[in-house]
Amino acid sequence: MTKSLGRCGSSRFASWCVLAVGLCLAPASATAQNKDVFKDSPQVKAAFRKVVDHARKCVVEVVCQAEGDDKPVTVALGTIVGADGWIVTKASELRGSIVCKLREKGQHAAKLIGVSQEYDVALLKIDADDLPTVEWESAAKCRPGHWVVTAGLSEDPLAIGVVSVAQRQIPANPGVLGIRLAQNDPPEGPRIDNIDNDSAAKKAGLKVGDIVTQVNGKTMANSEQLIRTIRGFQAGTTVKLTIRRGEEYLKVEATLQARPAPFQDQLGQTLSKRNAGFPTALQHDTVLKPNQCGGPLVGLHGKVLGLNIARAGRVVSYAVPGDVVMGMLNDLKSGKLAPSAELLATMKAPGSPIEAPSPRPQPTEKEKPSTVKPNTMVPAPVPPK
Amino acid sequence: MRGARQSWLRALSCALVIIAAAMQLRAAEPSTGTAAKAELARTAESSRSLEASTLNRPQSQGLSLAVFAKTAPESVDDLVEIERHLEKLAEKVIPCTVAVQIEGVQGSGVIISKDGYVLTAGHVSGKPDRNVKIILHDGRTLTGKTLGRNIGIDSGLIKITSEGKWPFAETGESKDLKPGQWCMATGHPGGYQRGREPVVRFGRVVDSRDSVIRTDCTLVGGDSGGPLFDMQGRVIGIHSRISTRLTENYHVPVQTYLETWARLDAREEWGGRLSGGIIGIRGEDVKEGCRITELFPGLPAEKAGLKVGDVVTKVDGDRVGSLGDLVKLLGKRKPGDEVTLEYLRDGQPHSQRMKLASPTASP
Repeated sequence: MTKSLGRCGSSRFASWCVLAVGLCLAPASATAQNKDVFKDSPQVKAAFRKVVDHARKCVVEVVCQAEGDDKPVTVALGTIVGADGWIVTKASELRGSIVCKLREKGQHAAKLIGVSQEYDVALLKIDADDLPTVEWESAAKCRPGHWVVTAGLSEDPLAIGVVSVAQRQIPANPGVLGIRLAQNDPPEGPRIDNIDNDSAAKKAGLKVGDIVTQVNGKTMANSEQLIRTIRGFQAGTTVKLTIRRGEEYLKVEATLQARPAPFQDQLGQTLSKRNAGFPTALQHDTVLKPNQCGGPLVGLHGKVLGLNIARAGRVVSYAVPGDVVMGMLNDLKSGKLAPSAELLATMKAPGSPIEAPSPRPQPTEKEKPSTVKPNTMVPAPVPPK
Repeated sequence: MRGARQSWLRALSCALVIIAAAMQLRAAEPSTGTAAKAELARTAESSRSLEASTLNRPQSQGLSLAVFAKTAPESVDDLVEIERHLEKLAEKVIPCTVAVQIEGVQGSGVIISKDGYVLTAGHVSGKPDRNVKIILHDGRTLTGKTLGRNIGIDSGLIKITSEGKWPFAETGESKDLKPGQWCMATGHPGGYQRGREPVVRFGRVVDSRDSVIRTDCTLVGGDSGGPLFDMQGRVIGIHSRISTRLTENYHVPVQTYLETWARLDAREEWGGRLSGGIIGIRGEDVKEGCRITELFPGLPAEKAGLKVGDVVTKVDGDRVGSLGDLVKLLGKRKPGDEVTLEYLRDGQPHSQRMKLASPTASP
């Protein structure tokens, strides 16, 4: 048993991994459990059919294919908010080409129109007519114990649960680069001594030995300042770093990641990449996969209380409240909440060559001129000072 | 990762039998006899006094619990009725739920009496007489002391030492829980967070035994020691551990707290892994004593040359009539103690001295 406690995590997490991961002390039943015994048994779900009857018609599957994907992948659900083809979904899972699969009206290529970084909500546009749309409801009256129902594309709800905590601010996960700095700072500044695999630093092209001289234009005098500055950003934020490599100076952009979730939160499941830092969200206990977020969360009255926005832990799913989604729709449509250049740069059709960074997406007749700044993907050498 | 998990499970499956043996030890303790009867009587009385000043019973509010007796809700009306009940239930049980912090360990607990007894998990409260910081649902902090625990079943008791009266929950019963029975869990997953009340989950009992309840109310680190409630808002279990599947969430049955109340209150620590010494066998009851059915390599019995089929008859002259006797006798000793085992092989008596190992030893 002491082994299993050790596996709960390093001493960093010792303070809250007290729920020892272990096996049942009673003789483990080898036989499969009767499905009817669970809270989301087929019989229980069937009772919710009337509840999701309208909302389910407004659900789409959001399918993406990026460079390097050998086939398209369902990254999220989407919720139809405009009859002529406006769909909201979870932003941070989108990449490459986007297709929305409708329940009855086939597949449609989708364009990314707007992104709320705050809430990680994206607005897509497909070419369609006469689509059914959801009716939003405020989540302010949601109390612990209230049913919340996740609509899918079929008759039965995709998943069911209850409100765990009334809507509140969800603090952000501090971002990390995934590097270890030299113990003693060289005079030039904090030096990278180690880079974790799959880290933000690795993806940005940083190398061991690089000195991080600036973050977003601010000089980093020492490791402490660099660490403090990076921690001040939320996981998922892109920061501009100035790097000294030998005699050269480079500008690099890195998208910060979250610290790996505690072992137990990932036990038996995966979490959404962006799963924290929402100004307000409703917490519920529905078991969801990350690619089941982006769709409507319905109350017993059949109206949509929120948009499922993240699977955040073993016991936690978050939804952006319905009135918040309603409130941002105009800004998402109008270009006020335009997608970032970095995100748009990833929105290429599969098979198209990787070009040199292109400054703007081509405007179409339905799109207003974008306010996106030129992409400064690098490396682009800057003469030393 | 997979290899590591498999070896971890292998080591633990051996621990299972050791623990199972120790569990038997606990079960073999007098559940009859005047001492135990007195204990249960005292428990019953304290239960009555717990009931005396209680929060409103659902029945008195005119709410029927019939909807929960159905195999599954059948209509939206059923769902509405369930929701109305759950909202009231949550309001009632959230204030009884506490966060518990002891020397860097964080968990949860539930207040079950107006004088401040708090049920928690044994691995949260740890050793007796330690200082506890208790955080109420609204953020107020109290102090307390740890009392006793049953290490094997993972029950633990705490007493609030701050002056005052606090909302408390009744204890229910866990002996007759049925698979499919609805239940509500609260606790502080991830540790206490300012501004976040205890987190509510709703699910069903999947399996229920004397030593553990399994439900599909998801739990995670920080929830340990928190309460599992029936639909009347009575505590039926205390969160203990989880396994890989999201439907594998395990709770200590409340019955054990009631049955061993006197020992917990008296700051006793007993039961399970950390007590007693082991010789490393699986056994079965036979007329002559305890017949060895399996030997674990590297542990005392195997090292001393015992074989499958040998029937243990005495430990240091004390008669072994069953596996339970053997476990009880070994449970009184410590790892490192030397014992003389008498046994029969092919009907012939033999005797062998050996040094007991620790229950946490993995072969």
